Amino acid sequence: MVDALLKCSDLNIKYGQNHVIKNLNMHLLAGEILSILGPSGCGKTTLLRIIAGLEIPSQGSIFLKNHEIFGPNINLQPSNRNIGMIFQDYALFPHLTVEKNILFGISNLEQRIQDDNLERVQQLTRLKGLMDRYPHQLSGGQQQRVAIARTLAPSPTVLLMDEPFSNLDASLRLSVRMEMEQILKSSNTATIFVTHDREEAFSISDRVAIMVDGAIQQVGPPDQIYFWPNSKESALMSGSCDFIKGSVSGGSVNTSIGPLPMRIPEAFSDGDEVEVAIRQTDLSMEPTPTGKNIVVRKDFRGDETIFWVKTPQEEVIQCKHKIHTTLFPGLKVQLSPVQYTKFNVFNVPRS
Amino acid sequence: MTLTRPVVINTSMWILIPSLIAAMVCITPLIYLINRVVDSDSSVWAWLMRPKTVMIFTRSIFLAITVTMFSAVIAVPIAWLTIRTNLPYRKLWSVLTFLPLVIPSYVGAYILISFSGNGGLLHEITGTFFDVGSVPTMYGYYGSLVTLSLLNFPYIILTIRSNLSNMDVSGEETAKMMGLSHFQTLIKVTIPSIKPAILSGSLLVTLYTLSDFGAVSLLRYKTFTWSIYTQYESGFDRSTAALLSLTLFIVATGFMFFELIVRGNKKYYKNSSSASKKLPVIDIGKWRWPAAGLCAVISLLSVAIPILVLLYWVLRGLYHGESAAILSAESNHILVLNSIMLSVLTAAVVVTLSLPVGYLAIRHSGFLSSTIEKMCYTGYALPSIAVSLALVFLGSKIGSPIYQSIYLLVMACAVLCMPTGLSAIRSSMTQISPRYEESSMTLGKSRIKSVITTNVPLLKSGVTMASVTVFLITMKELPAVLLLAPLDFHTLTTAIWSFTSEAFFARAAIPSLLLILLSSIPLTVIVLKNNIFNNSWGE
Repeated sequence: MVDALLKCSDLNIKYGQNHVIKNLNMHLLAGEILSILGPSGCGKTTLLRIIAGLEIPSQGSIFLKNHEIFGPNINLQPSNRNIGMIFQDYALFPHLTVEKNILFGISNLEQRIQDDNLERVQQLTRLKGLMDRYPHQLSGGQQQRVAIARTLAPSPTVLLMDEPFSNLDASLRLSVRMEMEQILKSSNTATIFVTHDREEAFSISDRVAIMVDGAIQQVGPPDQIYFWPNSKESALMSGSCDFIKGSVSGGSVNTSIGPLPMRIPEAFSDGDEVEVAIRQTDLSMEPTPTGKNIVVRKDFRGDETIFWVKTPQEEVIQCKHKIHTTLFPGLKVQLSPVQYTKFNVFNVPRS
Repeated sequence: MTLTRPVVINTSMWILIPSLIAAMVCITPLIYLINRVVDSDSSVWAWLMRPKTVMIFTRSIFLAITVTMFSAVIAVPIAWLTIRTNLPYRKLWSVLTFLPLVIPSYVGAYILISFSGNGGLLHEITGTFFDVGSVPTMYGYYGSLVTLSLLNFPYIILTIRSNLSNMDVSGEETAKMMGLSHFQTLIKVTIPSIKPAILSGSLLVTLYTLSDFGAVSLLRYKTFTWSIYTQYESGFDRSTAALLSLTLFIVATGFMFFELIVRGNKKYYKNSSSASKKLPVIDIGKWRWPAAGLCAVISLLSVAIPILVLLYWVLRGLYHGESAAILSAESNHILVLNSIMLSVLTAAVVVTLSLPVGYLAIRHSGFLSSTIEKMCYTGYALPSIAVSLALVFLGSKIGSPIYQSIYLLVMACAVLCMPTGLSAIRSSMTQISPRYEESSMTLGKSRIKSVITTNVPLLKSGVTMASVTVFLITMKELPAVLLLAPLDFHTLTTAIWSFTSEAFFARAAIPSLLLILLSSIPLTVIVLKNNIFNNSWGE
């Protein structure tokens, strides 16, 4: 295995009875962007704060470049970790100009080095001409670039970002995201990026870590997470999906809508009771009087239309379709897997 | 296996230790009084049960309650009229009804005595035209009630002001749509929704009245504070004075709990999303001019007449050649400098002590920090005379260099002003995101450096507000200066006190005017900070 730049092992944090982070393990490689994707309240932000040194774990250790920065006998102060953090609201110092904000973390360096660093991050973030402004005089996107510049100025080993786009207008997000990806890639700073937005996580990161209930559920490149989710939680976090019941038989799974091909048939044996994850684009719909499934709801969204279809087992599956005029609630339809589609199945949790 | 580590509050010692010092300073007078009372013999307890003591007790409470009621009756309509309606000359009344804050209660009492009553100014003027004979005296309860109500009502306006101007008007609009008149809406919706603010303003007035010493002494109304002072002046056994002080503390604490219970922990008003919405101006129609008349009468009684009376005494004194006597006794400029020095020192101490405590209270809420904070509020319930007395005892026990030094005086003033200063800094602190200091830490600055460099610049308005209010209160402070000032240290307040208690009205006039003038500076800052000019309608 490649040596990790940052490594967290067996992290735990408890607030009273509330066990927020549970035996969490993860690592970050040099130069990569890792997203931590999880629902609100899963402990994502707490994890970032632990890495930054702003929260003290109850247990565990953290290594940066193979040096222990937190452990049973050591707790390096945030100021000595050389880990940069960008907060959700950017936390730009309101009483300082853009330039003073950027210089804040390097004010103790030699003047020449300060100037060089300022020049470097200024170019990286295209902030020239805004140096004398105050944060309240900037747009949301500009504020974010200042926050990045301020954090990158001291050349941190690792950059942490807490939901950096959540404060931006929906119309701005895409352009700001592309811009930030550009900045991060050209600065070559290893970044951990926390979000609850799947699209954000997938488009920006080299690897995505699915975090559920205080632990990392699965880590991998975005497409791997999407196509090979290792759990129902990962399947749900990586894309909308519905689950229907089925039983394994001869490499495929029998369900109320018929047999479906399995992604990893060798992991199950005949007779296993499983749940099948069905994405919105996995099934095609054919209206037919003999169809056993009924369209119960139609949600027109412009580019696409989502249909809610009820199976004979009263399970409801969402299907995405381009055409919408010939399909409507009440119609009987036949559902069949789209060509080459493989389905992920999961063991039914024993109650 | 890694060891299990408790999640600790990582408070820097640089914050915790100064906070503990602040708490110790503030709690010292109370501890000392308790100690003194516990050590005294049982005869003191019998003394407490005397009918005369019970009488004093009743008088104090009765005065405090009635002054509070009168103040509220004056303050609530004026606040509503000046903030919400199309009252003529709104800005003028807004400012004029703040001005009584610069007049110390003993100056108010002295003006009342010299203006009304037998041989007073009013008697003299009317006497030249008519044969009026004897007029009712202003000494005693009624004089105290009038003086303290007219000087204290602005505290209630001050506390309800922001509530009234930031309130969510949807409740009022609903009431109007249901057919209620302006007046019914005011009574049924507006006033109930600002009830918590009215209550906390009223509590302030109650506590000030309970602890007032100057006015009741000059007006010879024998309340607790007067009694404590005479016990202190006359008795060799000062335990009775300590016991009375402690009783007064308990009464004041009782009022605080009463307010807490009545107010509950509810927040009736909303000032978040709708705060930016412009308040509609209420048209009071034919009542506009009568309402302005009401404001004029209050301003005349509480500001105009007192200042005119003082000016009259100054002119009369100059005419009779009194000014020479004042100048020879103690140059006015020394009095002014001493007063300013004391107030500036106190403000500096209070701000210095409040900063760590305010930080601790907001950032590290917990048992320790809330205990420290509560201890810093002791001066709220412990009247000035009691604090001063405790420090006199303490000073005489320690002896030099503390006894009869300016340090002890500044400490007394600081203990008394700590609640005011701390609450200004605390409320400013709540508006600062903890993310700033965390950002600073991740940018390589140490914890304490981060806390200071990110919070202090943003606390500017809180620090300004704390300094000016503490300055204003200390300028007017009487008992602490009387009891604790070094022998050769005279301020405007002590000069006014010694002249008025011997009825040298003309001599007291110049220092009184100077004191009012000086207090107007911080008041102007408070007025500007409270946006009195900004929320006028039609702009």
